Amino acid sequence: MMHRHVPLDHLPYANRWRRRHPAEKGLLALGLLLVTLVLPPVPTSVLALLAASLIGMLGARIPVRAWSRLLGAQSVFLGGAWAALAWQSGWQNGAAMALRSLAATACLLLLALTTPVPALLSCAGRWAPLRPLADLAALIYRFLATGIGTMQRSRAGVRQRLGHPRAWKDRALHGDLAARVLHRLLDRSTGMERGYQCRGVDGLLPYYNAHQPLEGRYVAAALLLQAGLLAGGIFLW
Amino acid sequence: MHIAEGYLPVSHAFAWTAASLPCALWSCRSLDLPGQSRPKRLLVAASAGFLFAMTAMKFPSVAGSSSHPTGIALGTVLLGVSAMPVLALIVLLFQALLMAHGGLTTLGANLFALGVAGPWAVRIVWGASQALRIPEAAGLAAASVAGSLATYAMTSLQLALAFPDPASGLASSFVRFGAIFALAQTPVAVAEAFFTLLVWRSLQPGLRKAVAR
Repeated sequence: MMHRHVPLDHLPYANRWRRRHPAEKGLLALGLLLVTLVLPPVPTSVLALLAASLIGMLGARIPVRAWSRLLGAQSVFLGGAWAALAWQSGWQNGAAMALRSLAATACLLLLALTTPVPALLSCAGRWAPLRPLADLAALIYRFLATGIGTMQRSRAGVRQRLGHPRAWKDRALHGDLAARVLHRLLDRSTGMERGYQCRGVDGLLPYYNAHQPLEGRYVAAALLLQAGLLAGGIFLW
Repeated sequence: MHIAEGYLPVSHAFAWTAASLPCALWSCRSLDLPGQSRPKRLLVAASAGFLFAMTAMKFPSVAGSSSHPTGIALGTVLLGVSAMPVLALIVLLFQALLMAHGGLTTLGANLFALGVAGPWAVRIVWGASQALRIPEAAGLAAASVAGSLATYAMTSLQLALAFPDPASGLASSFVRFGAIFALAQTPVAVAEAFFTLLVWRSLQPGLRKAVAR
């Protein structure tokens, strides 16, 4: 079954691994992240950055442009980090820290761009103590999805009527719209809640649950890659 | 204030997670999620949406972090300081998983700044303004500015603890990080206060009273 995605998480629904079990992707990405953090940045971070990027673009088929754009945006933030640390404790320390952070971000992107948030919430919701928290998170996610869509439409409507204002006016317009959208969202969500109650749903919300079962060979491959990276990192250190 | 993924040393990441965890658990208990009424939960979700929208308007700042409005004043005043750690936790998780903004290993540190330090500053200033009978708008604006600046002061402390100045030590590093953050964050905090007032005024008085109950 194809689910309609929202602008917020377009990419996780548009790659080859979208239906893979979230635990497989979580193990791969978080394992790589852990290896990146525990070993010295050179050479482990370089290897992890390469591994996450190649797996993301070749394995999951995340568009190269999207991957580069997101990682590039993070590099801008880390450029500031490098400058601050280089000033304080030498350029080598700054560069090592920025490299480690970039590799860690690539690992996080691998998880974020291959796994839709509702799939993660569905996994979290299976564990009874986390169920109420996952339910609240699912509600907030719906709120965000609806809110962003409403905001974009309202903004487009206002611009068509008034033209494109200057930056400061645009910010004020944005604020005014956000205040109005908050009201509209509360109204719509109350309506949605009443709809659920009319259908007899007064408890926890249903989840997106369209992923494949866990596959042992992918888990084994992820563990093997992490072990290889760990060994390579220690050997080259 | 979102410290980037992998930026903190592992020991610091664990320590901040350990410090934030009790706050998040206390927040879960006080919100009483399983027994909470749906209308209350909608308000919680609306506040989280506001928090998400505000914190997503970021621009690069020092040391792998970013400057942005925090949006915590509205949530703290509407729902109480105890609700904020859970809201901040969910919002920070979404930002990490949707936009790679912040991170999973720095989640504890970011949660402590956005979900604990900031809301308590808002609570203290808002409470003081109520006690001193300062007009509501001025009190909320002051609370909003205080919350925003307290969040960034905590982030500066976290960064200073992780990267103390080799020559002059922790205090000097804290002042340096704080000073660079203040350049960008002070005007952002003032603008955020006006924006929070705009949203607060647009909420119907009935809703505000219902929330207060």
